[in-house]
Amino acid sequence: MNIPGARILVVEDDVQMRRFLHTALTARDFDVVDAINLREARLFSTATPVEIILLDLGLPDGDGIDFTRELRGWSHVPIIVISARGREDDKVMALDAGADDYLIKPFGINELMARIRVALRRASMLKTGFSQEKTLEIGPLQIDTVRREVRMNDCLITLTPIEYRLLLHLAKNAGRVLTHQHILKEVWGPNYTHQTHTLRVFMAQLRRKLEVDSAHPQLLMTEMGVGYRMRDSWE
Amino acid sequence: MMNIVEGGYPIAEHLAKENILVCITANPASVWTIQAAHRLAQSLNASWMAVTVDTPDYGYVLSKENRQKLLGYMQLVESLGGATVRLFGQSVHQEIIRYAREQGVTHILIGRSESNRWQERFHSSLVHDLIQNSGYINVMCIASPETISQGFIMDSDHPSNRWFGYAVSLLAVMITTMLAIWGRHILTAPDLVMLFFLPIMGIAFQFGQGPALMTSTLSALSYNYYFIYPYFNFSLTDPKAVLTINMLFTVGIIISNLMNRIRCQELESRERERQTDALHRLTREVMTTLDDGQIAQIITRHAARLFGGEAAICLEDMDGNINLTAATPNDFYPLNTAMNLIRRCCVFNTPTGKGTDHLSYSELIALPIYTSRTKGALVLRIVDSNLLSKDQFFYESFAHQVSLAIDRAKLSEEVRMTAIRAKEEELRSTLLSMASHDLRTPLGAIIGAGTAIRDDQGGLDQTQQHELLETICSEAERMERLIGNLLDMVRLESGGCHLRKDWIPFEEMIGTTLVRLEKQCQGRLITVKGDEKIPMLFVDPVFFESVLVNLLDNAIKYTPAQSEITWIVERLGEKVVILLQDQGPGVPPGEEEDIFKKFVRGKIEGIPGSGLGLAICQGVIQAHDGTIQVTNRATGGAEFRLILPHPPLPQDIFQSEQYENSGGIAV
Repeated sequence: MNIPGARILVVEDDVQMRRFLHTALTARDFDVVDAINLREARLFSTATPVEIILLDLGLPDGDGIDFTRELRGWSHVPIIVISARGREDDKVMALDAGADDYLIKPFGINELMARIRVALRRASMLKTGFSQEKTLEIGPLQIDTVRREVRMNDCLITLTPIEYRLLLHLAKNAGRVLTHQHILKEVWGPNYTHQTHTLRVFMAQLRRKLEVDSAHPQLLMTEMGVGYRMRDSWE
Repeated sequence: MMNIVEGGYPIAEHLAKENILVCITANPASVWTIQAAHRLAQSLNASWMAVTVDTPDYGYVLSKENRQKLLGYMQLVESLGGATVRLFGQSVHQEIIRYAREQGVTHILIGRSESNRWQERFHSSLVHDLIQNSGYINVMCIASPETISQGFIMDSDHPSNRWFGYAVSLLAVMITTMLAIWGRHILTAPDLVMLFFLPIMGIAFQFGQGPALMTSTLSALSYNYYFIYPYFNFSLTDPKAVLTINMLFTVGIIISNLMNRIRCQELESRERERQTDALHRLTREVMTTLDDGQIAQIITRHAARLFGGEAAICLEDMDGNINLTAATPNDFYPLNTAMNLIRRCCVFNTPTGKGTDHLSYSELIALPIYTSRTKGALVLRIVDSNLLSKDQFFYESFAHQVSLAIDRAKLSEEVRMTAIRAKEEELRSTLLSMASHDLRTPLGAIIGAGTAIRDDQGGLDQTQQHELLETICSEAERMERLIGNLLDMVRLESGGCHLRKDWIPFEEMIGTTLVRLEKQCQGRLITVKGDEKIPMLFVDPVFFESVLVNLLDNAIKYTPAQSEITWIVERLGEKVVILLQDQGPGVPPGEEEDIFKKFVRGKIEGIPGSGLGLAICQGVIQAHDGTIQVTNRATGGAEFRLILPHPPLPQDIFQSEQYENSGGIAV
């Protein structure tokens, strides 16, 4: 993992918040670049190669969501939104605009580090490409994409075609929050994006097959009102 | 002349549906007619009213017996759910039709008996006149089994056309002359003159000025010809005779003028009654509502009908822009074309437009609405411009009435807003007092611990420093939870929460609840029981999650560590019941309802909390049309019982089952 030395762009207008992020991230060997508004963010994100962006939404000269859309036009650099806006709509909007993750302030540094790690790993996987990987391994879960076999703690699991597609999509994006709309579009197709209840039933069935206690999932996590996330850290 | 309207009902109903008018008299056959009207009204689901018309034939006075009968019939009408109206006028059919048009009546019912058939040969009957003049209104004749002896409603409509009047006056003079000739030997000259005054008075009263003038002229000529020497000659030789003729003529003119004035006054007062009635009805209907939009709508509807045109109310908003508040018909939109007119009317607070002193070339008229709270104009398009000059006063009193109604609506709106503000204020003050205490406590710990580390001069060892940092973090987290609850509460209280209900498995809700309370749940046995394979709830996931989190958090806080907590989900027909059972001390008797109130907390010392959790639960459950209760279990511990509506599941929700059976892939 290329955390040490990775260049991280922190877009945040609050001085104290910036100081905390700068200090904490520098202490963890990141190369931190600070931007206090969108203008600087645009400048730094184009002028220097950045490996990850931490983005506050309410900035003095504009909204971070617009910046996210703009950036997604030409770059896949992972974006983690850090915002005090805690409503589910805000989350969905940022994720749908192309953000990779969404952290609500206040958050702990461990939480932030976990999200950064996930985002960087995904970015490196995007570079090498998924298609070459024959097996995905996420904690106790193994998916053999060639033979379409799913194992949980080395036990074979029987899945329906949709359940398999759903699981595979979550696994490929392990650690990321995927919105309901995104999952429905990718797994069922663009005409099914309003059928969140169908998705929920499928998730419940997947949990029954994969989780030890389906009411207390360890692998398939719910982001209430937003979507789902496959847990990927198993320390 | 009087116009009594008894029994009221909103006029809106008249326009929306059938409206029946039944003509009644003191005749016993009226009972038959009333019953027929009642039956018809029931079958058409229509509103209905009974009308009697008093005519001058009997000097507007009924015999005592007839009045008793009529009162009885009116009571019958009211007991059957109809309204009763008494009208006064010259012509029964005209009065009935005028009133029917005004009230938007669709059917007129009138009794008809065998006995008045023969009358029709000589007079045009009331039924006939009604049918002739009713226009779009249906007229129905109700045959009665009894014979009508003497109807109170008489056809008093003497053909009022001029020629008939003149013919009658000619006839009257002829008869008077004959009487005079016959009685010339008995009567003295002054008596003869007096005799000739009689037809003048009668004609003036019945037919107005023209025929009266003709009667006086004819009387003078006839008197001259027959009774003044030289007889059978129009020449006048005696100066006394000239005086007599002149007197006859002059008195005739004066009488006819007086009579004419009485007639005019009568017409005028009838018109005034009509207007008073209209204002009265407007006021009464406006009184039943408080919403200013609705009031404006009612006013325009009344105005449009009353003035026989189109009406709109335009009011100024806070920024001084004039907006259309209501219009009848709905597509009447004077703002584009008559902005000038409306502005001028608002600014100068005077009637403006057609028929007034300002902008009189306009085809619209704007009447000012001026209250302490708002300014505006009632804009009218009136088809019959004659109405304008005549009814200036009425227009103004109508506009005044409108101003009062709108002022009242604005006032009640203000009262409502004040009440809301007072409630918000109360919430704010509670929140403030809470913020000052409950938020300051954790902040105190954070600042204390933080400064202890910052200003440390080497006195703290590694463990102590770590302890202080631990304090900072946990207190900050406590504050975060508190703020979250406060925000939830404010969202619920402000009424701004829009539930986004969706079908969601109960397990999933419990899953996220357990994740959110991961730390608190350490070492706890939390079980979920249900009778269905995948119990589904139809709730707003985000709000409902906060219910489960608060309930579980509550249960964990108030029960001994290691004790078991159980969730149970059951379907009961169209309801779903969620139970949370714990093994704690339960709820103190008598506090089962209080614990759901805001800022009410358990009496056990040392348990942190804001007293908001259960209030939020109740708020959210009520927003879902459900109920929440707490009871103590027989075996010990508390049981929270949530009951929620459970609508039918969408058909496609378990489509996955089919897949599993048919196309499952063995992996």
